[in-house]
Amino acid sequence: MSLNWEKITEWEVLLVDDEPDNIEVVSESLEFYGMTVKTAENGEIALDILEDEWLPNIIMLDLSMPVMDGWATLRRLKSDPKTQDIPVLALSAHAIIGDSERAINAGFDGYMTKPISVPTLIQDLRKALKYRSNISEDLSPQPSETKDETAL
Amino acid sequence: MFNIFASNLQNRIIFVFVVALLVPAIVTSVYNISSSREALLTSAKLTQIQTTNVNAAAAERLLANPKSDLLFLSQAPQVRRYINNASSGNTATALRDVQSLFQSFLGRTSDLYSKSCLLDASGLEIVCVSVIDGKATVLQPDDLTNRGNDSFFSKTVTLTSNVTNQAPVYISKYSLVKNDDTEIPVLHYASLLQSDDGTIAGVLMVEALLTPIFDLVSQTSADQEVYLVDTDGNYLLNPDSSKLYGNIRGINISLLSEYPNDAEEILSRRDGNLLSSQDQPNSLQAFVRIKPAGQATIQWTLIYKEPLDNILGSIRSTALVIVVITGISLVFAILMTLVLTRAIVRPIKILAKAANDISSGQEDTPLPQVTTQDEIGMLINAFNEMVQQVNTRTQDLRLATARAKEAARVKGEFLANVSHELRTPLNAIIGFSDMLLMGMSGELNPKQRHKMERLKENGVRLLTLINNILDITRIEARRVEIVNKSFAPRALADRLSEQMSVLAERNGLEFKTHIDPQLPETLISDEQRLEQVVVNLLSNAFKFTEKGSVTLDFDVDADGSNWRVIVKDTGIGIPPHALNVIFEEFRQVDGSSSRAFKGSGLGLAITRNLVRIMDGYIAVESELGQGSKFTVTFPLMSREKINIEALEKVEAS
Repeated sequence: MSLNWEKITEWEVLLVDDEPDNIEVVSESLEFYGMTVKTAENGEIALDILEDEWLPNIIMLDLSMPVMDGWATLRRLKSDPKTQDIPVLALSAHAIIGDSERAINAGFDGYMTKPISVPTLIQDLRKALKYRSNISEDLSPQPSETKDETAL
Repeated sequence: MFNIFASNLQNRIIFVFVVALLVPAIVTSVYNISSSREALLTSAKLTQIQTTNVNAAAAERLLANPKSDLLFLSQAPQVRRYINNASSGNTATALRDVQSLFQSFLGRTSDLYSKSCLLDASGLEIVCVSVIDGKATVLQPDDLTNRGNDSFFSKTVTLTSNVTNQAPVYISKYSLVKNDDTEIPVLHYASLLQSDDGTIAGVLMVEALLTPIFDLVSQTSADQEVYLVDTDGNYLLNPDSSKLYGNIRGINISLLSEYPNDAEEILSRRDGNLLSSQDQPNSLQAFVRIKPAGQATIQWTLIYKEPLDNILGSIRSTALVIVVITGISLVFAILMTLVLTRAIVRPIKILAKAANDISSGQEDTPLPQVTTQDEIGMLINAFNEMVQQVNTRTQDLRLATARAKEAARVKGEFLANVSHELRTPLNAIIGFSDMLLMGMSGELNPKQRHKMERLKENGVRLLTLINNILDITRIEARRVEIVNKSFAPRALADRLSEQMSVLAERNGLEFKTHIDPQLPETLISDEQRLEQVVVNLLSNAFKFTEKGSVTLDFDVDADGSNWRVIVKDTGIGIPPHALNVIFEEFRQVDGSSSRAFKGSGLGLAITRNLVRIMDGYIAVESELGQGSKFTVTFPLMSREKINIEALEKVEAS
């Protein structure tokens, strides 16, 4: 599924995260940019939502969740012909070296580190989702914005 | 050859034992043999000298006997009657009596004499009795000859004037006479017959056989060779009969011709002996002169010769016995040593093998058995106790290692969990701050905005700090994997250039990238880590530069063995005292800059650690107020060059 960045305000997003605060921040930020957001507390609930013939433009998936975590949910999504073309973005607090490759290698279409930066949300999304198209020629992920803060 | 002893105790012990046994055995044997050789030679020499002397004296006596026999005959009444009647011419009866006398004389002494003759004053044989076939036979007148020209006759006649009281006897040189078919050696004894008034009436002669004398001197031990020579060295006796009487037979064989040096010695002395002479080194000789007193014609030398091999033959068997005994004791000694050293060396070998097995990690190595209560048993006991100690300690260590590993794992897990738990609320704080700042809950007044900005900024700083601490922990624990792949530095530079352009623009700085044409198109590295390193350095450069430029260079060093990434800025620079510490954790140039340039103080430490685990090194040059230059150096692998060449080839074809 190709994403129409022109009509980003019409995007529908499925946000899966177990932290209520995080859901509030991310969903309200997305809605701030005009998107429609549905939320789920874990992978299982997310899969239930997708059963209802509703297909979002992108899915944002927290990696560590109870019941069904991001990794398992991704495998389910990518093995289902109905959902396998929807770009799935990994959402993780683990900004540790090596985590982003793990996610990309596992099949995520992009990787975003929490916290979500509201002002640069759209650029970050664009950057994160550019990955897949780049993968064929270059596996290396883009640096996350937080690295800019690394100092002497 | 000594290296086989150096590494082998058993060989060394055997060697020492054999030497210790062999040397005295050999010395004793050599001493023994040489002294018995000496003794044998001395005794042989004495025996020889004694035999020659005794036999020579006997021969001299035998040679004197015919003189008295001749004197007896010449004094016999029959002969006297002939002498006194010779002038009257009436001798027929006297001659018959003389003939009978001769017959009876020779009949008694046919083993000593071969002939007896009476000659008249002219040298004509008047009466001759000869021993033919063992019988004294009167020669017929036809067989009688005139001996007037024979030397013995003329010599006998001239003897007269010298002696008055007793008729002198002339002894001729030895000669050979024909008897049947053989030639026999004889001596002629002759005496002048004078009447009472002094008139020469004739000569009385007996022909004495030399055989009895030869038989006498030949009576000696079987090993001796007997030689008899005259003054010229002609053989009278020789085991090889063809060499006899060289002078008479007209052949040039003599002691002188055969052994000139020996002959000179032997002929010039009365007696003596020769051991290993120049001419006959393998023989022992004794010689003595035979020279009956009172005459001039006989001067012989009797020589006994014995081969040294005969004398020393017994030594050979002695030596053989010694060699055999030595050999047997040598074999026995080696066997005994083998048995003894095996008893020592085998346990040592077993211990060495066990020690080797244990040190190479075979834990189920069976412990050597203690079979004896001696020193070796003590050694094995001590060894086994030590092994048990080592095993106990190894197990303790293994346990401790496992515990430490488990502790490290738990620590890592704890750290990951804590970081997650710390980050979740921080993320919420930052997120909500963002939302408020964005005006999503209504516009904020300037004071509120300022406070909210501070709130967000501190949240971000805290988050970065946590992230960096986690990063450095993971790098130091080597939990960051380095995956080297080929990458294009050009692409990386372009990407970074694009990424940094925003930052450069925002800060009003110029950002330049430069790639050395010498640099290969592709390099081998972990691109992601490299990018992280470069981004860290670039971030710092932008942060500490207010005006001017930031430069990113990829190049190859002067000698072409390394490739480098150089990040240069025209910023505030680093004071000399700080150059050494900026790569250390939680160090910034000073407190004030720490406040002015918010950061964790871990960025360069992470960078340095990353570079290290990528087998490179980082260096910094800086001048205060002028700017800084960070150089990261990696070895240029030959693989990279080869890859490039291979690629070019593929492309060319």
